[in-house]
Amino acid sequence: VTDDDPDECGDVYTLTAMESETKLFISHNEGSRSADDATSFECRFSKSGTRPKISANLNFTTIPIYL
Amino acid sequence: MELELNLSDFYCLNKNCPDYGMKGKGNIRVKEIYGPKNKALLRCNTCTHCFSETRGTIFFGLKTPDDEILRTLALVPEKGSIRGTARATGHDKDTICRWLDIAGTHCQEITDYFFQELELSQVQIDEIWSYIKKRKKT
Repeated sequence: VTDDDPDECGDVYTLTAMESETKLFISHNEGSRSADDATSFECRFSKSGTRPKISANLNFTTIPIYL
Repeated sequence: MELELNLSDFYCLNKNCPDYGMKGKGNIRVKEIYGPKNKALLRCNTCTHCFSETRGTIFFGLKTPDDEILRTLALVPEKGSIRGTARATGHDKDTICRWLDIAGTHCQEITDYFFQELELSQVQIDEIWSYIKKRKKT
């Protein structure tokens, strides 16, 4: 990617969130690895009534993370 | 012309109308049939507000038949590309992009409406990396 390329070019990270029991696709976000994108991705959780337990599959190991 | 339309499924879209948002009140009537798709123009007898039966749907203002739009949109994930869908259906790629934009916005509004006060137990998060770059001109 060069400076002449549009802003859309380059790395794109798609973040997805799915409820483990119902498989409800709660939230997704396409963008970079930035705080703004993370906040945009997370905003759906703030609408939920209870604070969910978050698990992420990192290096084939499920590590539960609590918000 | 026989209409397959259940008027009790519609409500007045005028926010100033006393019957706004209330179905089955008997205030909705068919005023006329209009357009190449023979859609019904509905009229609220309470406030005399008129609106199309497709108002608030992804089909509002589109000339292509509803079934064709749905079939084309369903083909996009199957084909995996907009150009491939355009070749398969004969529609222009820009048209399909516009339909996708309309459908996506509509789905987002529906999702935002229903995704309130969710009782979530455990949420699994994943990350998919991809790369966007134009091919070099040869």
